[in-house]
Parts: sequence; C-alpha cells; structure tokens
Amino acid sequence: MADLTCACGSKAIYTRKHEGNSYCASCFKDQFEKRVKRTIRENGLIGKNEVIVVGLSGGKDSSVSLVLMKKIFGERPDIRIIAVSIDEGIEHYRDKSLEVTKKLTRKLGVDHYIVRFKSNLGSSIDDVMAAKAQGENKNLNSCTFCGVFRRYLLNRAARELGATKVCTGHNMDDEAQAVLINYLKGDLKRLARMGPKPALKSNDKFIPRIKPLRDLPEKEVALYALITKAGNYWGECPYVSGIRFEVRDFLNDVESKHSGTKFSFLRTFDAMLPVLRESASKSGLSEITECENCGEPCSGDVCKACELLDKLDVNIAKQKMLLQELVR
Amino acid sequence: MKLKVAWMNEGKEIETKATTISGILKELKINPEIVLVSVNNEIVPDESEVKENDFVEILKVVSGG
Ligand code: SF4
Ligand SMILES: [Zn+2]
Ligand SMILES: [Zn+2]
Repeated sequence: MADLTCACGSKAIYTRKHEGNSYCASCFKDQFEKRVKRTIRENGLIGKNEVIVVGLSGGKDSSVSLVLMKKIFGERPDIRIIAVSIDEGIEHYRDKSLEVTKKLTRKLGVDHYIVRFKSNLGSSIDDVMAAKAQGENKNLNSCTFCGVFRRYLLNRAARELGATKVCTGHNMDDEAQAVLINYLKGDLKRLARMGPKPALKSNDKFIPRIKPLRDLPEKEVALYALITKAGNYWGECPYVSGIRFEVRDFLNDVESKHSGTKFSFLRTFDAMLPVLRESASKSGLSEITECENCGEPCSGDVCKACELLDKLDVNIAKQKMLLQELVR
Repeated sequence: MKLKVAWMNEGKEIETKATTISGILKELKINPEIVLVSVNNEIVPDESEVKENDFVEILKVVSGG
C-alpha cells in the first residue's frame, strides 16, 4: 500500500476515522482552524468590544486556545486578550508548565498574569496533600480541591481584569467526559449548565465561559499543537485521581472500537440541552445566587469554594486578589 | 520483522507480526485515541504501513490536569 494521501495530493499525516478523510499537515491545520471559527460563530461566543481572559496552564489545550484567540482576534482593535495562569502549587509539574506559559505569552506579546493558590488561599495543593498524608482532610480529593479553586480564582481574576469572557481550552474529550460524569452522578444542575454556549442567567460577578475547542477531539488538539509548535508540554500531574480518568479510559475504549462515538454522544447531549434547560429553569435549578459567605456567584446558598474551605484549614483572601503581573 | 519503538521515555527493539501502526498499537495494548505516532520522525496516520528497522515513536497526548 502506498502512503495515504490528502485530497490536495500531499502525503497525509492524519485520518479522521469517523469521516474517512486523510489530511496533510497544512490541510489539517486549515480544517482545524475553520472548525474553531465555526464553533465561535455558530454559538456567538465572541462579539464586539470584548476583553477575553484565556486560562493558560501551559498544556497543549490552553496553549492552542490562546494561540488561536490571538490569531483570530489579535488584530481587532475592540478586542483585548489577556492570559491568566493559575498556580496551584504542584512541584515538578506546574512550575514547569508555568515556564512554558511565560515563553508563549512573551512570544505572542499577550499580557499575562499569574494567580497563586498559596498567596490567595494560604495553601498550595502540595500543602493540602502533604497534610492529607499526615491524616488530615481524609476524604479530600485533590482534583476536586484543585478544580473548585481554580475556577473560583480564574473567575475572580477575570472580573478584576474587566473581562467579558473567560476562554478555556476544553476539548471534545473533556466535554464528553464531563457530560458522562454528571450523568453518572445524577447532577442535573451541572448538566443544564453545560453545552456550547454560556447558559447561565447573567450575574455581574460571574464571567461567562467559552470553549472554542469544544468540537475538536483531544488527539486533534494535540496534533495541532505539535505541527504548529503551539504547545509541547506533556507533563502529567502527580495527583491525578478520581472518576474522570476512569470515564476517559472508558470513552476512549469505546471510541477505538466504534469511531465517532464521542462525537455523536456530545451531539446527542447538545440536542437534548434545550429541554433539559427548560426543565431546570422551571425548577429553579439554573438560578445564579450569591454565596452567603463570600458573595461570589454560586448556585446554592454557599459556594463550592466556601463549602470546601469549611472542611479545610485554608483561607480565602477577602481583600483584593493578589494578581502577579509578569514583568517582561 | 524488527522495529525500534519509543514509548513512555523508553526505547526498545521489538519483533512484530504487525504491518501497520494500528497493528503495533494493538500488540502493545495502547489505545490509538491517546497517542500520536511518528515513523522515522514524521507523524503518520494510524493506518500507515511499517517496514523493517523503522523507528516508531509513540507520544501520549492525553493530559492529566
Ligand atoms: S490532575 Fe487534579 S490535582 Fe492535578 S492539576 Fe489536574 S485537577 Fe489539579
Ligand atoms: Zn493537503
Ligand atoms: Zn463562597
């Protein structure tokens, strides 16, 4: 068998299995960018006069989303792009990926802020996990702690920077996993809040989140990162745990036997979403309220961050946040 | 056929009956969804064929974190 070829005649580097099309590097790149633009356009993710905060971890997904935001909107005078990295404090992992973020924002000429768990919460993940090893916070899951506070700090930082949107690097795999997890947990409230566009009723304290890579599978995001050199940090967090990784393996297992599964799973969910949202809003599930304790937006009486803090020995800085602007 | 394979920071020589990347991944029990593969330093589709003495590099691309 000869080498697989792209429709343009060049040697293919990738086959989108459920479509049966093979692409060369240059056509793949074009296709990928077209899809991202389509996701943005069809869902009205970005309008006029926006300040977009891109959450940048240094991994391939967030790096690709920053590169594309800059590429698509960088010339628009009414749009400002700012990168914000959250430093959870994970030695040998986050410190390395933060170096990658600094290089990338310097190269792109994008303003960049770092927000540290340690200076805003009093503890890093390393601290919290070390305490757990000593017998404290026994039931605490690293990823729950990490995820809740990362979202919390990113939202606050974005708000203080005057953002109109928070852009994250979530890809199709992340989304399919999240849908399935919320399904398995029976979390209707969260399910109703998912989907391609920000769903929540507006609350000035909550900055709507957008996910321009949501229609691209993880493998394609990785390929784009590799061929454009947008990102090439492949480190893994030492604290990876929880149901997400079981669900990830399960979905990939099914996908490898039946290509297109992740795609159709997410499409089915999107199609059901209007009904889900209607029923959630009838029962008051989609309401955004303000946390009784810290005043941050949430969907109950007390926000998830305060709920967790109650069980832990960390404190949220009530004063203005500590944002570290990068000196270039 | 003999091949050189690099996977998870480890390089080794393998003897295989597989003739394609997909076949090699199957033999090594690696899910194709979580990797990108290059042969002699060029990224290739999973259906690509391999030949004696090729250098097959397998990069895990799913992230944790
Ligand atoms: S794997 Fe878990 S603990 Fe590590 S960075 Fe991701 S969410 Fe945080
Ligand atoms: Zn082509
Ligand atoms: Zn709160």
